[in-house]
Amino acid sequence: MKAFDLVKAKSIDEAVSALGSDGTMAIAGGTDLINTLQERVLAEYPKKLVSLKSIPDLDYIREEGGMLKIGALTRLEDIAESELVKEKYACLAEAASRTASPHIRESGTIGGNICQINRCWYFRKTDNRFDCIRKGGGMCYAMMGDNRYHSIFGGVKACIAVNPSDTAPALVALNATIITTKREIAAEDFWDVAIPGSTVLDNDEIVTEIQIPEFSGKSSFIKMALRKSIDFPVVNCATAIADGQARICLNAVYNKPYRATAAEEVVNGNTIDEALAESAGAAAVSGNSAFPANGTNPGSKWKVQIAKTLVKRTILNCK
Amino acid sequence: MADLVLNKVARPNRECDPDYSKDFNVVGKSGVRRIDGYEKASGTAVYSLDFTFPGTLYARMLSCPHANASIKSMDTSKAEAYTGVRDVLRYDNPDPAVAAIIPSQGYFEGKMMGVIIVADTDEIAQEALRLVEIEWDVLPFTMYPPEDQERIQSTNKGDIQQGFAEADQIIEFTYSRKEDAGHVEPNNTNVSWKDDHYEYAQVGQWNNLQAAQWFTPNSNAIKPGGVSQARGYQHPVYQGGSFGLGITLTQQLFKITAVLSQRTKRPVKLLCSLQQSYYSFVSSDCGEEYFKVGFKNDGTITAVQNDPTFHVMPYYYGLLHLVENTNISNLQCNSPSNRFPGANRPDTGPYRCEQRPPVTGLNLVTNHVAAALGMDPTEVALKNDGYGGEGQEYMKQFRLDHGFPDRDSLQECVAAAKEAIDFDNVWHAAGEKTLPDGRKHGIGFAWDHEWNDAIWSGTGAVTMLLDGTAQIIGNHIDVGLNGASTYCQVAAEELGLKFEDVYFKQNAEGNNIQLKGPSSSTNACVNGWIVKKACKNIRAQMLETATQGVIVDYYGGELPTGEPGAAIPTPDPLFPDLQPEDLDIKDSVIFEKSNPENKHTVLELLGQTYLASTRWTQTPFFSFELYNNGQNLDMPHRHRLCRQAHFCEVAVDTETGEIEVLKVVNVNDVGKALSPESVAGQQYGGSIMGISRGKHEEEVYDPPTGVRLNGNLLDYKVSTVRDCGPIDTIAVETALGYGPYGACGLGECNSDEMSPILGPAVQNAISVWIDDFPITPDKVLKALGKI
Amino acid sequence: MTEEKKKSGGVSRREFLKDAGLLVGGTAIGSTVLLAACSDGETVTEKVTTTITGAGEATTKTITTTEQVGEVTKTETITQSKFVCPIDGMEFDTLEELKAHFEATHGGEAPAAALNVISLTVNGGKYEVQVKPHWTLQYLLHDEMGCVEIKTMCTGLGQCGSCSVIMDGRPILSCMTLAATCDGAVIETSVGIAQSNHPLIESYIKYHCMQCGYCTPGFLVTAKALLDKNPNPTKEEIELAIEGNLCRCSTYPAHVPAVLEAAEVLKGGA
Repeated sequence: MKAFDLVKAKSIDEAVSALGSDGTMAIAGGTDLINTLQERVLAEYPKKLVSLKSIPDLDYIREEGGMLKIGALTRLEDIAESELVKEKYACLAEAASRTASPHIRESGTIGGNICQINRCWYFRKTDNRFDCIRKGGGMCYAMMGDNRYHSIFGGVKACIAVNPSDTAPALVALNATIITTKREIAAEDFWDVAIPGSTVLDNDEIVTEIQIPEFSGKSSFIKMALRKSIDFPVVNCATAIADGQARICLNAVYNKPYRATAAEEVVNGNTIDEALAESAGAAAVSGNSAFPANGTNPGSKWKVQIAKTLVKRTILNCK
Repeated sequence: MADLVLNKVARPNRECDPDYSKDFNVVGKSGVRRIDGYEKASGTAVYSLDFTFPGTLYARMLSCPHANASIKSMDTSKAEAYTGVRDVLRYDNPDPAVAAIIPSQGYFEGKMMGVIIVADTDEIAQEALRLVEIEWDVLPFTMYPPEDQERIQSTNKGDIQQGFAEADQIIEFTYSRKEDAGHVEPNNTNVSWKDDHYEYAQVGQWNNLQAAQWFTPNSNAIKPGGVSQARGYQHPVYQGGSFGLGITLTQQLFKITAVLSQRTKRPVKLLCSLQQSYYSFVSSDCGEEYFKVGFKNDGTITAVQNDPTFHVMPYYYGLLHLVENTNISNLQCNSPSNRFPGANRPDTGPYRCEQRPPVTGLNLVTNHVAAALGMDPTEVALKNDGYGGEGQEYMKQFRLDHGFPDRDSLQECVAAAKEAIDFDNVWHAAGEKTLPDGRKHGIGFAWDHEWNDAIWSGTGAVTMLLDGTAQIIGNHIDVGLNGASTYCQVAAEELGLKFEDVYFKQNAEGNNIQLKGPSSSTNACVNGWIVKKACKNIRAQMLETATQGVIVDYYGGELPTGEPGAAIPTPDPLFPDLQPEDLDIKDSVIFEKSNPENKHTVLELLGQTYLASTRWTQTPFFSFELYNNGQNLDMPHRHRLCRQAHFCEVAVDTETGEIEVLKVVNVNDVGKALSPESVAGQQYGGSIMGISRGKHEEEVYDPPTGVRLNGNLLDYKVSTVRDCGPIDTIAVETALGYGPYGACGLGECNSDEMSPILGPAVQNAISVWIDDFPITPDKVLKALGKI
Repeated sequence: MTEEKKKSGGVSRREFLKDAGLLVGGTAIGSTVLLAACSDGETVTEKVTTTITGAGEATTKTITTTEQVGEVTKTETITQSKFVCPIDGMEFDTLEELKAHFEATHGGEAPAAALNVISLTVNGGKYEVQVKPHWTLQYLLHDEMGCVEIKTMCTGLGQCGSCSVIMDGRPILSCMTLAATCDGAVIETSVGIAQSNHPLIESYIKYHCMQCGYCTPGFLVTAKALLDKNPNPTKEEIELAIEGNLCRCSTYPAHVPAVLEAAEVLKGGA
């Protein structure tokens, strides 16, 4: 790996201060960023990394003040195995347990998982091979190429890379709030950004905590991937239903977690059954703009079918 | 055009090894502690990547970033000035020997070319390589061959038109596949050039042994005067997952690294990037094959026409397994006549294995016919089982004529497989079974012959040592098959020694004493013969000495038992009144068969003989053996007799297109299971690799640029522990193989047979054929009309 | 390039150790490289050799310790390499000397972080190592410390599990971990598991959990971490634990019975 400087931050303040300089990036578990650096994905290689792992007291899962609080440095495996999370916030525990591989979950943090860089095999191709629009170039290569894993709801500034996080849709479904060093952000808004960003965070802003309001309903998370481990999702979906009100969020279908409000409206106030879930699934993908098959490119229409099905099944799981 | 398959020179017949029916003490027993086990479990086993010569420099080579491009100009000044860089070699080097190893054009993305950096560390080499500035001439490229390629009839047997005329029904289909290897150990080569000799350690180095053609003067560009094979010292490192690979490539990497070491007067380690490694360990090509099949309503196949189109290589053997495995009389393969010249893809090589196209063809033909007739596919297989157009009567006579047991291998395998899968309860007509969770249930069948791998050649030796133990001497590059343990089992069996009194470790100098073949594919069937024959000789030598008290030189008569002027006694025979045939050896003890209490240890015999003869240096018991049975592929008159039968049960989710493998049954007639654990390992290992290929392994290229999009282990989907279902493995032992004790080859079987098995399984579930592998969810959804 | 430049380029630490013949087969056995190993055991004799290599640009000190244990003489060669001052680049044999130099020359106590020195426990042995910020734990263990059991299949991209180690009780990927962030970490590799005579080693051999063997250490480490946490794993729990380890030979079915048997042995059964 190419050399860089490293600041092992001892406090949040030290981290934020270090992140203020140019060419600096934050690193927590490292499982997304080190891959990115090894592959020389980015046009600009960082001069300095700021390690957040050394900041004390950001690794916890606790109930406090009527909400669940998860420290940003909490490992995904700990969330997956937390009895508290499994019992009350099942979709989050399931999402954490289905992220990447066991080893990645033992290092990777929830903060890192929600801040990971959007995914596209053109963007990620070794040695910054494609000067794509997300990197400041003039075109999206996936639009013209093989887009089987790409957005089914169109592009953001013509970029069709997707947010691949497994925990993100669960946090949206559970109406979480992301606490940063600067502000509190509703999970839904956290990824609401145009390229080249993947989150709304400033460079010198870090996530410190995730807060999830008390939840007494049922929730479900399903991930579809080609393999049962290691893979990013082809599509995933989290649904949380309490008091007849649903929050449904798909991911890996758009540049940010895609809240399926049309599906929620179908569910809200109604008794859940197969037919209702089916129509909610259809509503979730209505208006999609998936890519058709073209030559050797199978396109992304298959993802529409999967998204529809996952919406239906997560709803039925919340019955 | 001549029939390229059947017109090969006939090889002599081989008979069954009569020892197949003996009482075994060591061979075939479970629980033998495998020889490489501790090193591999503990991680102390050293692979090429872990191996570094003292004082090593590190080298990296440029990858072509385009599907087809040549270098217009290149500026390496920044790289040369980079601290720690020791050598920069360019494609335009004035020394033709150097220029010859560094092409200036890359004809596929990832092609190693242009410039090599040699530096103190790998990190420096990589960074310096990135400082090289290149102006590229990007050229047009082609990914797929044209449909109107010139073709030849590489197989033309019987009368294909007559065969179609005799048929009740004719079907046509085209299958395709796109998988590559999914590499294991990143490619790397270590060479230490010592002027009068050289040492090396390399991934895939067994290919250097196997294919020595690069040592010939004409093809050798390494050093004026040529590289002598005799001067090579091979460090016998372990090999990360070499399932067959690009022979040419490992040779090229050796040549390059040798030149670098010559120039720098330092050992050099050439490392390949992930992409370079991926493109190095490529598969037997992607491609399509058109089939036209004629058959009668009872399942008898009357004619098969096959037009294969592979993306890089011509493939002449598209019907090989229909020739070798069936009684079908009319076969025609129309293969492209040449390598498609414009394919801008990595070169290909067999990756477990080169016979996959004809295996896939055999299985899809069988299953398509069965599905068209609504028949149990095992019945179609049994009806057409045979050899070269001949049926069961001929096969039976062949077995009897050659000393084989009269057993019908396919019948036995199918019966065992049906019982294991509970066939009568799980089989159903296509599309007729829905599981309680709403998914469609399907079951697929695959069959074939086992690998007749008692071919190729090898040499090796066995010697008894002073302490009564035996050592196998040879060079066998380990590729994971546990060959060393199996050879020791054979040696212990034949010598009558305890397993722990026999040992085999790689022999670094043995460039000719090679227990080989391609050591993976032919392993036990070639090398087992060598060890077996050598040990038989030694056993005879030992028993003669034990009864006669003389040291017999099996290459020239009786050895002197004393020196001039010295009183060295002739050893007293341990069994003075007996003949060799009165004795047996078991558990390292020699004993009288009719009176087992009359016994001496092998150690006693050894002590006596070496004292008497060779004065503290070595024992006289040594045997060298050569085994040579010609070349690969079809051998007329030496028909493949062992068969295999497999089932795979799946559940197909018709809403998401996902396929879950519910259960797999692998039944292989291995002739004789020399090492039961190794047999099972090859069965489930090959099976998972095969299903993984059929299910989600696919090369993806960017259509506009020809750049590979998924050349890594995240985006190229090699199966995990949870993706290919539980597997029952059953070994049938009919002794119908040509190997020692009737064994036959197995290593490549299951990976080949299981690669296409999801085709019939999914068809059985959803009533639609998907012949486009891998069968990913998008294809299932498309077949179901959902997208 | 010119001869002059080669000289000015200097000889790397790693290189002169090799020139001194201290790195042999495998990788840097002198792992030892950069390390001041904390030796234990009674030292009977100690032989110190100073080697000068190249054009006199660098030196290293070799300490050969000979320990008499009963009839057996155990000889261990440890190469003490340099600790480099981050400010002026001067090299010292020991961390203490470097610290003293730092205090005397640059004023004030040198923080360990500034020296990029971390403490590590690897398979029970304690090490102080000077690392570069961009080194991964995989590079440190395999290339600098000679732990050949740290494999790489995916070339450091977190996709295969071959470089797994147990760090502070967790099975993690050493390729996805920066060495500099591992200060104070307790690390166990497959060699350490073998050294402790853990029953997984024998059960892995018995059930043929290896074919080419390249990925096997990563599996073994992962299985050990599972048994540490869960002494009674089910078949499914074992599969879930090793689902991130890729094996191209597909030895997967062998691992489940091997781990189950090792669990039995640990409980005193079997």
